[in-house]
Amino acid sequence: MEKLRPASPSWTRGVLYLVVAAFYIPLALMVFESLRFKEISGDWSFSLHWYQVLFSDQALMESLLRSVVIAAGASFIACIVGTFSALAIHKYRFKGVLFLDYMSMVSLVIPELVFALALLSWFAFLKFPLGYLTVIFSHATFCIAFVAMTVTARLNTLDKYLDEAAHDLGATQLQTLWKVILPVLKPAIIAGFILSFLLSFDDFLITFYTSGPGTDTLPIKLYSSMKIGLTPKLHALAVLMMVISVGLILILSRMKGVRELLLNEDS
Amino acid sequence: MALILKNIVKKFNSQTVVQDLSLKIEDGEFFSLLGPSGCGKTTLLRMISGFETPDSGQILLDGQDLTPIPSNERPFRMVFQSYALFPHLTVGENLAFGLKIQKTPKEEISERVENALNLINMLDYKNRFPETLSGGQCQRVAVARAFINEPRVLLLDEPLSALDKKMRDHMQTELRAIQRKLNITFIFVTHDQDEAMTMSDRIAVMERGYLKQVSSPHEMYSSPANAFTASFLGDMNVFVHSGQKVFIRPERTLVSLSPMASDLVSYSGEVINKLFKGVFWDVYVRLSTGGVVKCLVDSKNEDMMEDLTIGKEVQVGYSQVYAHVFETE
Ligand SMILES: Nc1ncnc2c1ncn2[C@@H]1O[C@H](COP(=O)(O)OP(=O)(O)O)[C@@H](O)[C@H]1O
Ligand SMILES: [Mg+2]
Repeated sequence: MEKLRPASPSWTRGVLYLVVAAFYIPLALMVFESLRFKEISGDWSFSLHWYQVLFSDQALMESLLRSVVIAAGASFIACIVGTFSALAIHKYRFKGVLFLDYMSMVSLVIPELVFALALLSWFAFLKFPLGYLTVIFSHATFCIAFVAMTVTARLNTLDKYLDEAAHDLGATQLQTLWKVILPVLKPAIIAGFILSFLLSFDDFLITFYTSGPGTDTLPIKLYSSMKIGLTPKLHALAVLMMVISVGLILILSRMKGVRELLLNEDS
Repeated sequence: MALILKNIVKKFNSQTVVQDLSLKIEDGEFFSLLGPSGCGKTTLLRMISGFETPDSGQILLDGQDLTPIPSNERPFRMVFQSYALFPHLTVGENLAFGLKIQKTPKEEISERVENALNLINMLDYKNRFPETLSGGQCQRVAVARAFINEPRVLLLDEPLSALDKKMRDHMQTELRAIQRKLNITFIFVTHDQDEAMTMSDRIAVMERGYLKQVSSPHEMYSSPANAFTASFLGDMNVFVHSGQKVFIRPERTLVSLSPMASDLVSYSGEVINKLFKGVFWDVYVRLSTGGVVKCLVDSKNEDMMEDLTIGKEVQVGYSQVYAHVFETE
């Protein structure tokens, strides 16, 4: 039963508007700046000029592609490992669920810098050259828990005996996995993929430490350009990253069954 | 030809769940496993289907030992208590699942799916997804998905327990009709004695892993082999006669305002309650020797029921012919 609460005084709404404004004014300003083109005469007009500049910057476009490849690779690995660990833990329930909770907790609360340092010394220990692979691997490690979480949430809503039912109807273990388990988990796996993609695409710190020369991603590029100075082109780049992230979130929240999945996580 | 269980023992950790159980189930039989919850019915069914392995004993089909055969190769199909329909497949695809695995030709699959849907009266639901169906419909789809593969034996684990009373009654008749039509052996697990009685050719009663009695519903009701089946299947009154417990069915327990005939065993008592049940009245009498018994009185017997007021002194009795006395176990 929902408790009836006294209506909040009207000034709280004012505070809310202020907070929202504090968040969105800088973003709006950034979008505005990216679209503003100053003529030599001192007049200005709205134009996509800076975006044209952005898209014709070869180095930037390469780092965008790199970001996408890394995010896709890391999410792909995370989906495979995350799905199978969720399946294994679900099947042998006992301590598994707790373990998973701790794992996702750890990846949330450990300072990213500490994690980056740990990964870096690990690669040094293995004498593994820094590059694409180390970044993908590093991103995959923190994405796995999130895929496992979405998949576990889905598994919890399913009939426990689906796999036995398939087996009973003559399917082998592999057929059961391929024709029943994976199709049923598909929405959760896709949600996990998009979530991982976002996390990887936006990641700065871990990438900064684990990438080698020539594997700069978009956030790293943005960072190094920012040091030189804020230009409208940088604003356009930031807006581009924002649009990609928000776009993915929108896709995620529109997906059938995903909303329930993400909202049910605690139950 | 038949399914034979020989000296099956199953332990979980140190708990023995099925105790040296032997059973023979004939082809085409509607066979019920009846017992209170936790007595090992599901475990027994899962051993037959191959999801659990007995610790000792054998399961034989037509004389062949099934032990080395994995569950996906046994000619049995299970109907799960929770139905376990595949949520990503339509009703039609659910039914076709097993046939597809067996690489049945396409035309034959669609023909058999149509026939099965026809049999369960759900032709219009072929393209619907399970989440859009009612409980009773899911139940029928689960049964159809199991029998469409023409198994030798259909194993049903409390398939009706999730349905409401009306739907359950309906499905009891429906299931029995389907079983007659297909002439497949059904092993039907239930904890509901009325369900077992109305549906089965034979019933096996289980208690704490032991098989207590196997016989037809009528025989089990009229001559129970032990005190457990006597009181588990139907109502029983318990009298104490010369230091021994005597079990009498309520419909064989007589009540009267005047002394009983001398060839009957009679007790005096006091009417404590009477409930009108339509065809009969249930009359509850507290015996002067202690204990309460229930007697059925025909509701056409209106004069008598008028006199049988609560608090009235009455005689209760039975004929030795209908008395069940058991050795204490
Ligand atoms: N996988 C298992 N592990 C341990 N104990 C089990 C397992 N399955 C069943 N049991 C135990 O075995 C007993 C019989 O269970 P079950 O066969 O499910 O009974 P029923 O179906 O008659 O209610 C119960 O006490 C149950 O707790
Ligand atoms: Mg059970």
